Amino acid sequence: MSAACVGLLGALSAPLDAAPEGPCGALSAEIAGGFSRAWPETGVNERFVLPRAQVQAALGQGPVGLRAGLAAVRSGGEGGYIGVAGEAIVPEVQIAEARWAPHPQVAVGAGLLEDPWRAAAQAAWGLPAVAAPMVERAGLSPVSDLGMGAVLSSPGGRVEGGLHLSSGEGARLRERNDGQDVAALLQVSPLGEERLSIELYGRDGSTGLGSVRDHRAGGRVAFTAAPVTAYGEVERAWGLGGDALAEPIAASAGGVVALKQGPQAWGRLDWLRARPADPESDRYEFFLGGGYAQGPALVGLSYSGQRNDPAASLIAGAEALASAHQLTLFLSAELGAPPRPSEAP
Amino acid sequence: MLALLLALVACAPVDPLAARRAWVQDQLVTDNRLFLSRDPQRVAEKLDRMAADPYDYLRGSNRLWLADRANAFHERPPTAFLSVDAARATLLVGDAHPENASTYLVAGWPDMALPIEMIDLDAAGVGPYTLDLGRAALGLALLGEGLPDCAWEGCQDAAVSALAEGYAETVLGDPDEARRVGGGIFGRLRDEAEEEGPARQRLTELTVSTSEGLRLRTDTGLDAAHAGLLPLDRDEEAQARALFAALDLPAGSRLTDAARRFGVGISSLPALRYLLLVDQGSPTDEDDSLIEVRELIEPPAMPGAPAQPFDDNAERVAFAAAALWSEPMVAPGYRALCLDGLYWRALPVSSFVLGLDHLKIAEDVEAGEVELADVERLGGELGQLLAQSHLRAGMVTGGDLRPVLIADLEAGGGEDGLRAELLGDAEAESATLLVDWGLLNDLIEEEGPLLGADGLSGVL
Repeated sequence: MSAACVGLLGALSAPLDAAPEGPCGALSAEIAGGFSRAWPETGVNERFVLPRAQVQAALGQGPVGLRAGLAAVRSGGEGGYIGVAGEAIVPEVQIAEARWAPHPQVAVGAGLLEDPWRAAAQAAWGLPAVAAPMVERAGLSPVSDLGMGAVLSSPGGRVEGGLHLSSGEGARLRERNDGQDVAALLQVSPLGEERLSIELYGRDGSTGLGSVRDHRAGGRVAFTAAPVTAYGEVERAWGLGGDALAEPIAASAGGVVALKQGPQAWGRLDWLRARPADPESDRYEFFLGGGYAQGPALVGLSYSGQRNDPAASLIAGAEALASAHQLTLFLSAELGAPPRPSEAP
Repeated sequence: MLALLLALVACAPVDPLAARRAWVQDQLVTDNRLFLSRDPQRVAEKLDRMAADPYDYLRGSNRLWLADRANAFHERPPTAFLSVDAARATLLVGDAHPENASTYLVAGWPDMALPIEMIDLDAAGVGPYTLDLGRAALGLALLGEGLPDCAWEGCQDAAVSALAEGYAETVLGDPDEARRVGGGIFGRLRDEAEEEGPARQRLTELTVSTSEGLRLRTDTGLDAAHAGLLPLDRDEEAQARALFAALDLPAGSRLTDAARRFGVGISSLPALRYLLLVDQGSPTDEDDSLIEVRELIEPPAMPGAPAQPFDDNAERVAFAAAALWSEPMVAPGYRALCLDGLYWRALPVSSFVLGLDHLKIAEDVEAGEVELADVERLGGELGQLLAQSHLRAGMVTGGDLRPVLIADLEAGGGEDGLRAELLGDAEAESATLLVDWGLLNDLIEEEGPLLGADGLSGVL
């Protein structure tokens, strides 16, 4: 594995540094497994879980790079019976990108590209083993989608702008209409060295056979001062999941205190208002936890809770669905990935 | 520039009817995606049948109904129930519309009357008990919609009110009181099954006598309604034989003929379906019987349901039949199984197994043989039947469900509260369903028989 290629393991961005002349390769993997207990007590409350299992590989030569990523998914979904070989866990191709950086401030990519807004959300939160970023959990952004993208950055890298075209259906569905999604992401790092990042995002999209609108607008501020990272974000959708009349607004704020060797702690609050005009349609999710890290391994205990207003429940008004809680003991390890800015020695 | 464009696009008004049309299209296509990949012609036939009759549209759109109930992005009337957590862990029929009610043969017949139960358990699973009631109420409203002089007020609402009363009285009333459904429309159904069953009418219709004994009456092609029995090709024959072997029938049973069966059902119309003719060893035809083996598809997700406790799809259906029905079915061949990665449900095809038919009820009302008061009675007996099934199954986590349902019903306003909620939901949902039915017809006319999903066939 060559360190020169590690940068290819991240989302599409302008490289800035000189690209390696010869061929290079990089491999990263992140796996988290654990045991989970859920409340209230109905049905199956205790289970072993695999919240994260992902492998990525990258190859580079000069200005050209390739990146592929596989993730473990439960075939048939978590609630289905019809899957592969029963309901076996199977690898899903989530990323298959070709990149070309014709200039240190320019990169273009094509293929199955990581969604830039979701990738930025994951980088800001930093603990996918505990929970996927809010934009993914709420169905606001897919993990990846077929498309093309271009990223330009200013000299020094303090401003970066990306334009992405994609199918709008996400990696799991083929294109269903003639309309392509257009998304733009602007990232500004006024303090340099990724200490403060301000991100703005917009997407003009459509989904499904009926070309249902699927627009987004969002903003995020992320701050890093080792060993602390914190972020806050807000997003508005016009159309979601094939429902053109859905217009939820969502926000998330969280932070992690992470020493490379030693204790870690995290907290996060997600909020989603299903109908902007109805204050009784709020859903809150919170994640609290702590653990102990040794190098790339982390043993942690995570609590997650959910509180639904009457109009936000899956069955409106059902008090039994107003709250849910879960406690998860997990072990995660990540090897080969570029170091996070928050990781202090 | 993009921000400005986005702001303009985002603020553009959305036509609610166009949005609904796209939602219906998306939900129906997604619901049939598995079948679209394999046999799009059968999907087109299913959608065509749904478009021809609002009640058949109801039968084919259970997932859409559930998706609407779970859609928090729209204003929905809040339930007064489901305050007790265990109430959402009830074993449900899953698609409890009136046509799901059927007679079947039991060991005690003819000393005891044929039971009537909700026989199609394709969508069975654990979830909030109010979902079965909501589906039954909507089904009663749609049933009334197709009857002469059965408007919402005075007819459909009376049937839905009776459903609430039948359910609440069975749960809240004396547990030792014997309650047996079987008057009015259900009584006529039972009488017909008890008359036709011994005469083996279905067997006679579907078979022909040859020098080698009974054989299936296969067709050379499907009829105008795309229905019929077609001979098997080599792969199908191998699958039919493997399914027969997996049925684990009594020793001496022999598969004498098999065919693909088409054009049956609504929701499961595109599913693989075999008709097996089985001889149980006697040299005469007296013990020959028909078994339909049909592919079981994924049940819809029940909103608000806890984790499903079943090992697989076959166990889900078999467990539901054992737990929800008052008596086990005795005809040979009833079981659910897994073969070659597919799940199957085997059910005897017999005149003892006779389900309600909304078109026949309409004919009987037209002919004056059934009165509109009988529809109200049907609602009450359906409520009673659902309550008995839920109580019989008990809590999935073990224990008596009755105290849970009593507590939840009383917290939600008891019988009056249940009646008010079911009436409100059924009136609104039946109006929505009729609009959706019209949209499906528009979609077929404008987008084609597959609603524009032609390009999705072939590969998942």
